[in-house]
Parts: sequence; C-alpha cells; structure tokens
Amino acid sequence: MSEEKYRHLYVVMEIENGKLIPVSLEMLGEARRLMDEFNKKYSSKEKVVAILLGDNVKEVSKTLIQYGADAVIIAENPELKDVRNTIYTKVISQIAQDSKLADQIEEEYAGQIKKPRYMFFGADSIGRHLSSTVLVELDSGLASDINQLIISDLKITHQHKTAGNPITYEKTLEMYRPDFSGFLWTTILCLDNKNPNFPRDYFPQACSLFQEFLNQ
Amino acid sequence: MEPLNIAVIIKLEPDFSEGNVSYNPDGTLNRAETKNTLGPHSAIAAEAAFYAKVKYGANIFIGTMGPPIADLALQQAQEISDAKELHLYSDRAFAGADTLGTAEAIRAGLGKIEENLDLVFSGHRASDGETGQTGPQVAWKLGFTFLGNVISYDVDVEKRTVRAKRLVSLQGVDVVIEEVEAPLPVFIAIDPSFKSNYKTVSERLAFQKYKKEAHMRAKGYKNYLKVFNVEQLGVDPTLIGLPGSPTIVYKVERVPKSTATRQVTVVDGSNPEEIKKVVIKMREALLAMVIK
Repeated sequence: MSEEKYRHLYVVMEIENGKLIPVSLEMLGEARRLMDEFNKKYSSKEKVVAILLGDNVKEVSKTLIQYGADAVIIAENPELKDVRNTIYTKVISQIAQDSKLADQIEEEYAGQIKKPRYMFFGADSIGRHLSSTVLVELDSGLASDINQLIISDLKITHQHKTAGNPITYEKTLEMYRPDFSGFLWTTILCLDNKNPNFPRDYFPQACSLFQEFLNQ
Repeated sequence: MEPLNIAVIIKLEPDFSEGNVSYNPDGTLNRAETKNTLGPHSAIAAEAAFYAKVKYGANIFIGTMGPPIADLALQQAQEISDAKELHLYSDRAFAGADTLGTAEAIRAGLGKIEENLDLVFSGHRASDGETGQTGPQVAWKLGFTFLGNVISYDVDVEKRTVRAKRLVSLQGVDVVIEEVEAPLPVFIAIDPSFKSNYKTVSERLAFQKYKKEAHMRAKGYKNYLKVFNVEQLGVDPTLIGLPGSPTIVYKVERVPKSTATRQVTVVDGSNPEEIKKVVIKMREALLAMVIK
C-alpha cells in the first residue's frame, strides 16, 4: 500500500513579537476538527502537527498543544527571528520531508513517511507567499484564501488526471474559495496523476486559510 | 558598469472596468463577451520596471503566457515600460495549467532572455484567478530572492543590492512596513499601492524621453515581439498545462445567501397620509433606540 507514504496534517504557525497570531490558532482548531472526523471515519490515528519557526519561541509550544496540536515541531535560530522567504521556505520544506521527525510523531510507520498528507498556511502577507514557494519545493498543489474544508472520497472523471476513466480518490481535501466575481464559490482539489502515461503523486494537498473561516 | 536587466511577467485578463464586463443572467462572468486587457496589477508591475529604466537606464523585457491575442497585453505593457523585447509563450499545451504548471512555463520563458536577469517583477495577483501564487512560484523556480507586497524600492547599482519597503499585513495584527535589503537577483511582486516617485530634474527628463520612446515602440510592437512554443522553450511537456498541474477546479457553485432578517414596505411618496405614517414609524423606531 502506498497509503503510509503520506500522513498527518502539518499546520504552519506565524508568530509576531513573540505572540502567535490569531489565524494560526484558529487554523489549529479547524485542523483538530478535521482530523478528529478523519480519524473516526477512516479508523486512523493521523496527527495534527504544528510547525513553528523563530528565535526563542519554545515556550508557546504548550499553547499549540492546548489549541489542538498533537505534536509541535520547532526550528529555533537567531536567523529565523524575522520571516524571510528563502530561509523559511527551505526550513519548512526540510521539516515536511524529514522522515526522522515523522518517525517521532508516529513510530508505527517509522521509515515510511515521505511527506505530510495535508498542509495549512495562513492567508496573509507571510503565509500566501510562503505557501507558494514551499509547494514548489515540495512539488505539489496549493489553493489560496480557502474558507471551507471537507475531507471525502470523490469519484473523479478527468480528461488528464484519470485519462477519462472514473477513479475514486480517497481522503481528498475539498478546498472552497470565494471566486473573483463574489458570486461564486470554487472547490479546488489537489489530485495525483493516475494517468498511466505519466503517473505522479501530489502531496501534501495544501492551502492557505482565511480568518473569517471560523466565524461562519 | 553593466546596465540592469529587468523582466516583467504580465497577464491578459478580462477587463473588469465599467462598461466592459458582461454577465450571464445567473450573475456569472460572460467570458466570451467580456473584453480582455492588460491586468491592472500587471500594469503596476510594468510601471515599477519603468522606474528602474528612468533611474538606472535598465533594459526591460516582458514575458507572458497566453493565447496569441495576449500580444495585446504585451503592447500595453510596452507602452508603460518602454520594453526592448516582448516575449509570448503560446501553445495549446500550456492551456489549463494551474499556478505550478504556469510557473514552469514562465521559468522556461524567462530563460530565453539572453542577458542575465537582475530583477523580475510580477503583479500582486491576477484579477481573474486571484491566487497571487504564480509570482512567488516563478521566483522559487528561478532561485531568486522573493520580496512580496513591495511598495517602493531602489537599487544600489554598484553593490548590486535592492532595498525595498514591504507592506506586511497579517490577519488580526496591525499592518507594518518592513524595510529589507537583498543581493541581486531579486524577484519582486509589486503591491497595488506602489507609486513611482521621480524627484530630480534629470529623472523627470529621462521620464519624458523614455515615455516618448515607449509610445513609438508600442505603435510598432510587433517588431519587438517573439513568440515561443513548447518545443522552442525546451520545457518538459509533463510539467506544464494539464499534466503539470496538481490542482483542478472540481466545482463552481453560487455562494449561499444568508436569509434576510429585514422586511420592506413600499410607500406611495405622493400621498401625504402615507408619508405621515412613515414619520410615525420612524419616531417609534428612534424612541426604541433611546437608552432610558
């Protein structure tokens, strides 16, 4: 089974003057809700993992656990005090592909995990750009400004992805975003290429989230 | 001293200005009837590049991925920026790309510029896709330092560095302006509030001179235009278009409307009795609002 190559939901935190910004904590709450439902539905034990970069930020890890994270990965260094896209992209991408870290999160699948299944960023000046560059590095798909999320099994028939045949994609993240006209709501999916001509896995399924999210 | 080489990536977009937008009866955009134009954010990116031309005498190149009619956007951007070359990446195989597939095509396209690039500009986001992802994704593929939401910048041509002011707005936190410095090459996604500021007489004279040149060039823009297809760009066909796109649009639906809690009564304004009733109603409503 290729199933165990991609597990867990990684949520990238943002910290400003030593304080977690509101959208980060709200994303954790949403991540908790989604993964609780996911684990119940699929009889699984996948985790919510918070990622935090900065200088002297360790003390907030307790808060992250309180707000819904199962595990916290922290990268601390004076060079990470201010958010700079290049270094942040490299560190986050490395964390997302670090199998030793994944082994500590869930020993049962030690040595198997390649990347997270899902990944969240905040939809602001930092998260929008960071998510874009990280997802190039991880070579997967991204949707921005999302305000609703559902995980489900979807039967998809797509000219390219499935070469026109119906295929069921399990545990797919449906990412809803309000569209430019203001009238429409578009659902974005990040799907593996199951076209036999050039099959390719696309993980994590990633998005940046709006704060209005939880106010609905 | 080598002049700066600057590229601008732009997009042909539906023209959302007054009178040019056409809607279907259900309120969705009628793409066939709506005119196309240079995207407003792309225009600001072209203006930001022109600033470097005026201040430092830079060479400007403009690139876009799109259908053959996207040469219209290139022409409009040349009029703004006085570009010396216009590059159009056009191929059926590019169609249907998400931001990752688009970024790969543009990365390959920018590689067709013979000079080594010092700066690349993109707009803040497209007005039809609104993701804002393509700029930073191209930057990462090029290996350039990415600076987003830039409201002003200057280049130290000797030291080969950029100093820029960025608008940083985080959800639920005060907006701050951050000043950053980075060695070239740098990719800048320009903020909508960017304004060119020409302070000296020589800058204003250069501005006039290049504006005239830009106008002349844009008139004969086809002389500056190069079109590239997939083969000419030498890009891997599995990394562009539909095959190179991890994401799909699964469905599009109307945003659910919240139910109205207010009610409307229509009043005949020519009838004084009716107006009296309205005044009484208003009094009642206002009295109810007074804190006793």
